Amino acid sequence: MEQVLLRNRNKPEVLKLEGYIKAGGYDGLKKALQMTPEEVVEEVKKSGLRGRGGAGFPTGIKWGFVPKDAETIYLCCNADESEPGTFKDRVLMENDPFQLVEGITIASYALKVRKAFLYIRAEFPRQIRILNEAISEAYEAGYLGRGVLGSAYSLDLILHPGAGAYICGEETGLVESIEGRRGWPRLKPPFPATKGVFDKPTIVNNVETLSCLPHIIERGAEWFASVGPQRSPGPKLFCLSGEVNNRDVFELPMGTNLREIIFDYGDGMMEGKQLKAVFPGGSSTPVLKAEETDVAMDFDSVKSAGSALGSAGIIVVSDRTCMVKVAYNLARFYADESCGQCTPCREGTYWLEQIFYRIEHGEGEPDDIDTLRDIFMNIFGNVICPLGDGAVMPLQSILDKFTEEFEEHIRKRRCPMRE
Amino acid sequence: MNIDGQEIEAREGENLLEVALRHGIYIPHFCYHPMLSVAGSCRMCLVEVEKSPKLVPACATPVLQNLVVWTNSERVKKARAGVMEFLLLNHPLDCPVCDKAGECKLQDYCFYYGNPLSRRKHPRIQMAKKDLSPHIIFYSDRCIMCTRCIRFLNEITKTSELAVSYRGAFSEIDICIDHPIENPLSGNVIDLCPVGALKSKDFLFKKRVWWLESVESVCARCARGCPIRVDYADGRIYRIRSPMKFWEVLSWICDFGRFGFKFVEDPSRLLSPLVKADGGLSERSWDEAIRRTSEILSSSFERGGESVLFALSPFMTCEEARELVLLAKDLDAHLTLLPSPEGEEFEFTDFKIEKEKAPNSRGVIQIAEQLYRLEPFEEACGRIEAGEIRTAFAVLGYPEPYDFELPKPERLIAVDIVRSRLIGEADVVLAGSTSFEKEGTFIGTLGEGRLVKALEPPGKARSELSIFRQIKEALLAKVEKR
Repeated sequence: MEQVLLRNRNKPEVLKLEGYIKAGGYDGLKKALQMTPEEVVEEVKKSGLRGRGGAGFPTGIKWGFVPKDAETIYLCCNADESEPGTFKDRVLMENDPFQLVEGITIASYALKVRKAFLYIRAEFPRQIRILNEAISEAYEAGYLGRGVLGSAYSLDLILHPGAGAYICGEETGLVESIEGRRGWPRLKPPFPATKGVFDKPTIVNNVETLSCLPHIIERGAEWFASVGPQRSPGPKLFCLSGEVNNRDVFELPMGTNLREIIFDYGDGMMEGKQLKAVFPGGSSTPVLKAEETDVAMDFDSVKSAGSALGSAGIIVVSDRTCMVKVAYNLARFYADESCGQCTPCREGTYWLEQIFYRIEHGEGEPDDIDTLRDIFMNIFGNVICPLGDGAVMPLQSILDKFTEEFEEHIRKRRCPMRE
Repeated sequence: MNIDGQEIEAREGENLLEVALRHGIYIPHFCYHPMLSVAGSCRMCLVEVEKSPKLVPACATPVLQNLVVWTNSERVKKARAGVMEFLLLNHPLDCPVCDKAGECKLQDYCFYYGNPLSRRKHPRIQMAKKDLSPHIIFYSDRCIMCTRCIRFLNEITKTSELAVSYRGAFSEIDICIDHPIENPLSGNVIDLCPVGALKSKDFLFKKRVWWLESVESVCARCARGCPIRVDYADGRIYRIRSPMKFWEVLSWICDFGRFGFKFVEDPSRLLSPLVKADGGLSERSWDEAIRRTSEILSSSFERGGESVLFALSPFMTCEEARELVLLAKDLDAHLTLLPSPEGEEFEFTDFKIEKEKAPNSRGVIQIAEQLYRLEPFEEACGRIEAGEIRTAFAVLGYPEPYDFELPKPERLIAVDIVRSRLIGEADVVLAGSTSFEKEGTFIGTLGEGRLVKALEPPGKARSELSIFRQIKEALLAKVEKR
């Protein structure tokens, strides 16, 4: 398909404002500034854009939750891309920083935001440098700061690097981190849209979501809505990783078939390997078995298939990989990244890691499987933020769909894949 | 609204946990505290709310009209048992050597809501003990991360000495290097800790808590008059805490009050009345001391025109003051109030440590002025210097040495608890009792506080009230005889 979000990929000249403008950049913002903020919101609502961070919540509706009489509103661009298997925001930021800055400016204008934050993970030093340069250039040229493009609208954009925690990608963890505190998610409600950064209404949007905005405004909501399925439209970035030949980020219409992504765009499985399982939307989504992979990659279809589109980080697992090891690896990640605030996640993820470790290393016992299932139940839904649930969903699905691998480990008291 | 089938009236927006507790429906909780912000992180108070797909933390749920809540459904019980199992996963099984055992929320909840057996098969995470301040030691691995201590130091003292370091199951509460918990309310974190993590160094390994008896009394270390709980056993005070109701601190107390009870066991405590004879003070019986006192007092009147001064103490109770003021009035004597020690004043959110370090100058002044007349201390001193007053009856009772200038009268009767400087000048010394050894009333800036007796006065020491009454009787007997 036509590359929209990635149209400037591998064009070093667009890292400079001049090159970006020459490539058609900032037409969206110019058009937006001719419209009223309400018209911009309406256009985004009409486009059907759904948040690209993972939850797939309609962006325009989220914007509508900001109280009408609010005086100070903040926008946070969530660039804390840390979901395992997800590397699309990084590609957007390092290839086309102005597209993101333009998107942030359009969203800020629509929401009447005067100060926006770009919260980026500290592990992205190169992207931080690129964005810093782009932001200074935008300020100098009047695309940011007092009177954007000669209009009456002013916007400050603050690049805020995190300190290296997965949890700061969670909306309220991010808000706490911006305020200078430990990234411990807040109890919801209240949601950030009513009480966010410094207790002011705050909208947190993902990098890819915001990068869509210049195109929605420039080409119109109808164009955006016409790409992909009606209920989750638009061009979409898919991150393909794991045991496939061509591991990359692909821009494809929403709803592209998962098998097509793996076997056509990904050029199929690595030599001598058969497809066994796929995590369709990053590590926090339930795993799909090979026979379940004939699914359209849009929010609703993947949900119907029992998983989630999430961040569209497709992780491909072959028959040569041990699912217990996969589970242990994931459990270790969640135990390490659990912020430690609420009991079930703090202690539960650690316990899961310990049990998966034992099973993978031949120390599993038959009752471990029941214990695992019980721990899943005691974590799921009983935690403050989605991290705990996000740990349970993939792990539970691995255990349920590949139970025989676990049983074999326990029976043989070793990992059968390690000869 | 409705909790467990019981119709309950509450205000909309009220905290569900508070409403339930108020109506006698107990929902277990660790991190919730009525005087701190809501953390909602321990997940122990999860309850089932109609129309909510997930269990909700009661502490973070506002009451709505017609809300239907189940605090004891199978789902709730399962979640609670799950939380207990998680909390105990890395919690050391060292109750036999833990000071908190017997008054530990984790222990009690484990009994009520937990699983009898552990399914843990891996070694527990071990963490080091940490020295957090001159008063506080921290057993990291017993901590359940309720963050009550952190919130207290952020919100009440606003000193923020504690924070969380590391992540996940390895999270630890800690101070910054070389920045101990240093504020005069620091000891409250010991009371706030629901488990045996934050411990008082002073109390450490001193006594199993089930051997302790308690009284709720009032603090005598400043003019505020905070309610306190005195824990004692075998005639000794072991610790002082905030008064608590089912693990809930109802009001803060300061470290001066919390740790300031050591004077009770001061080696220079007066254990017997003393009477001057052959140039020195020597221990005598109460009968003799009272007789000598009444002789001194009555002789000064018999000589005529000679005045007696009664000097009241800001440490005495209202009841004692009343007795002595009436005696002074009967004898037409002068009456004054000895000065209160002064110290540093501190102000926190809804809490003030008063500059005046004595509990009852207010009460004493009120009673003296109501029943008789009180003259300024300087004026009374002037009268002694001018020879107008030759006999003084001074009630001291200062817990720590306090220097004030009282000109030496010809005859001095002193009531005190320790061998203070003035004792050396006295003709009779009457051994009194501390605020832990008697009943009575203090009037502080918080209002009236009742002293409740925890200990007997040491040795032959007596309560001031009984001393004053005996003196009065002795004087009356003399008058009648005449």
